Amino acid sequence: MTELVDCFRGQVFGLCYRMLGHRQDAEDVTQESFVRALRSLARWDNQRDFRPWLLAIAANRCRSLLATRRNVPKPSSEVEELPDARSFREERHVGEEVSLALARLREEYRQAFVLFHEQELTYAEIAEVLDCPVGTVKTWVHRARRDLAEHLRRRGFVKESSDAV
Amino acid sequence: MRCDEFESRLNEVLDERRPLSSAPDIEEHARRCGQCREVARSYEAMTAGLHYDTVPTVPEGLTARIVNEAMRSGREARPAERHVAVLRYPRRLPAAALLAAVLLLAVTLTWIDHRRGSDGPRGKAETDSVAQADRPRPAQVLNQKPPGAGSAIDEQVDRATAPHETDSFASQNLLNLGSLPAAGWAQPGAEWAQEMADGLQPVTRPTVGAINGFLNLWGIGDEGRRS
Repeated sequence: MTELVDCFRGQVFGLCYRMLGHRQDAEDVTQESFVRALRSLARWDNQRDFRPWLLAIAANRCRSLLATRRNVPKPSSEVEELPDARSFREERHVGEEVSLALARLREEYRQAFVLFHEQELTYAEIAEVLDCPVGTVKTWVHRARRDLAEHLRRRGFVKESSDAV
Repeated sequence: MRCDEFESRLNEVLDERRPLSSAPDIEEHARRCGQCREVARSYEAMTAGLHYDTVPTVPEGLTARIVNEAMRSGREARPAERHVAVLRYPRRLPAAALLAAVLLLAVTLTWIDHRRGSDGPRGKAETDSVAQADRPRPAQVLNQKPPGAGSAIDEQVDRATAPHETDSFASQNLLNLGSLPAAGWAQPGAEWAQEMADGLQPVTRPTVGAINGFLNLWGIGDEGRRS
């Protein structure tokens, strides 16, 4: 059991962290996902890959938590707007900006994007995890990319240059 | 490549998990078009940002926490699993409950009728077959037009209190249903149930009467008769 958890905890935690944007919540949901997966291990079809099945459980737990969060009104301090890009552009790393933009994406886009780019799942595996058609997953990933790229452009992270790509 | 195809092409390359710089057609188009070049740069910044932005490391004690929690919940889940195993087919429970209720109803009605048959005047009336043959059948009574200008309620009271028509529980039921001339839908089912009841043993009459009542209430008495 320990080996199994060690093998997949990074991926599950990574997905949860990306989905929830909160370290403690991500830890809790990771733990809950593993416990659920281990408890219902008998229902896992061993002809199929274990990782998408486990990530699907984690994704569902994240969605549930996000749904409960939506029902709780946020305190005003949490919904403050982003600071001006010019004053923070130099200090902020582009990675942090991507992370920030990711957190503002639509839930489906973010999940699909993270599963593709960070967990490196194939489109078919993501479709299995999210329980939707492959075409829909592709659309979500493409829209997530477009939104992220646009966010970076708006925030001035794309340097003007006459050179080629 | 046209500008409207450019973003799709970027996505194609990224879908193959290749860097944008590995696609010469993208480079070529970006060199000529400033707007598309900006788009390509923003996509590059995004992929670069993904590499820089790392998820925080997994906490040290997480594995132990997960294993402990899994073992604890496993110990707690065992009695519940055993309980569930007893109810292997929970979806059949409503059907079984319905069947039990119907059986209980039938037994109760039979018992009531049996009690009434042994106590009251019905037993005598049942044994008098000649008198019964001469007596107008309730269905015939139902089909008669109401005499005079009596209301439906008066007619129902008259029929219910008439001694030759209160000889059985089934007949009472049929009369009650049949005395709703405004509704007009109860009579065919009532006739059918009466015919059936006449041909059955006295003990089963109330059950037939009750079933007839239910069928007519749902408006399927006629269909039952035809089928």
